[in-house]
Amino acid sequence: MSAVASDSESIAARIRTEVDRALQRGIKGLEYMSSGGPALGLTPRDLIHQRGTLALYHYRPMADEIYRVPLLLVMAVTNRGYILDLAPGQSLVEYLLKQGYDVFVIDWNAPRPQEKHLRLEDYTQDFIPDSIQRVQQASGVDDVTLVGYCMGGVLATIYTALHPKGPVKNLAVFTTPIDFSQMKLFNKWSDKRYFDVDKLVDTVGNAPPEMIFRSFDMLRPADRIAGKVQLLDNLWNDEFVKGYRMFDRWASDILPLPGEFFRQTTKEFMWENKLHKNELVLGGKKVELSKIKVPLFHAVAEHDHIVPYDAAKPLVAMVGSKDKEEVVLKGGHVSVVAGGNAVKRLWPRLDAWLGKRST
Amino acid sequence: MAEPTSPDPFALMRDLVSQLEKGVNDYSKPLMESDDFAKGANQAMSAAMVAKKLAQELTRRSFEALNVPSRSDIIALGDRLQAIEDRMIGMQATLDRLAGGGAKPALPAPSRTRRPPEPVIEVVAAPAPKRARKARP
Repeated sequence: MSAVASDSESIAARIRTEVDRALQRGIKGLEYMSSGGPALGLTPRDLIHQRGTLALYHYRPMADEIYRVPLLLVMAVTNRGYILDLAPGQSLVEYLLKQGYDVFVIDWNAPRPQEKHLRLEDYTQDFIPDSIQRVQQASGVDDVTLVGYCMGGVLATIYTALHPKGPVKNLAVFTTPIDFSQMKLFNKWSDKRYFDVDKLVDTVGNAPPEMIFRSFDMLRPADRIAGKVQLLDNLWNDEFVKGYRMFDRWASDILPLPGEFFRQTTKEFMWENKLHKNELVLGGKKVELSKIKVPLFHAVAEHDHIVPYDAAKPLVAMVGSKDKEEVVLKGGHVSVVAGGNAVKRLWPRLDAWLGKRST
Repeated sequence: MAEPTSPDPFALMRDLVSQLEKGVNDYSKPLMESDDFAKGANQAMSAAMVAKKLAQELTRRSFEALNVPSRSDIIALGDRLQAIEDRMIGMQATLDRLAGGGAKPALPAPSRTRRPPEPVIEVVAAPAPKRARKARP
């Protein structure tokens, strides 16, 4: 067949495909606008403790035999925990349960106005140890593996540094910033010459979620509009739309931050970079990452625009652990822990590392 | 059959959107790293916060004048209900302990004896030794 005839057939086929997709977009577009979003975070779990912003859940086991050491996942304080439990087949929690882990999670509720006084001390010296104690009671095991994502990783790391003698047996964190001076845009926007954090907190109390949402959005200002264009283009594709709705819902579901916590992290992390400089003092105790001796796993994302590699890489160098591993994986801040990319890359690596350290 | 040589205009459009997205993000990054942007953005945010606070205060006063509960009042009620519920849960747990154990789980907990799978060791057959050729008589 000649090239011209082949071309004509190919163009005709493409046009047919595009017309078909345009029709599908119309039908599915109406469905999209009239339906609610997908239900997320459906892996069965029990609420075992709640106190204001703190909510501790225990997932029901999915294996007949489980590892001795339970896992306590510490979520980032600005976001909901269901990013780790999006949907069947796309849930890190479900994966870990099926691999035989006993999984607990600290999933933060939106702090009330009355909780504006909460500080880093409350999270690292009250909420986490209280939760660990309840995990120990529920599991009957003293050892616990702490797993933290983003700021949850910072909290888990700080707790472990302040309690070097236990009960943390292993520390696994994802995209956890240590050197906040390398988060260039956040650093510039919170520059003390222009950002009066005291005035903001004294005026509004808790840092409002829309302000936090906008600051994440501004890191890549074209992404939201480009995302909508891609959604429109792919409305015919059910899998694409499902994935889009899941991640979009999570990204928009931002939590407010307690005012004092926001003030403290702005001043002590962003302005003075105290964690990286080993100058952070919480509740009269100095946080020294070199005191961490437990096995450490740190997964970082190659294309993380929120926590750049330079902000995360000091952790492995600063801890005193002999058994430590940094894993650089393809993906961004979110795709490294959730979605198809994570299923292939992070999850099996995490399981291989955790399995032999959870007996 | 010869391969089609004409470009796919739809794929080109999609590629253009991706390129534009990257271009806008790359162009805006140095702008947003500037002092002017930081100053302007913070001023705008500060003004928005003050306006929001003022609007909330005016709304609260209007609701008070109309004798209508505000959002804060509803949230406070919710907090008190939650506190009552927490105390009831605590009391239930205490009563269960006093009664000798409380509700037993429907299924026994799985045993904590799991071990990680053994690594699979591939056995590669050694190559057959070469036979020396016998010299012909």
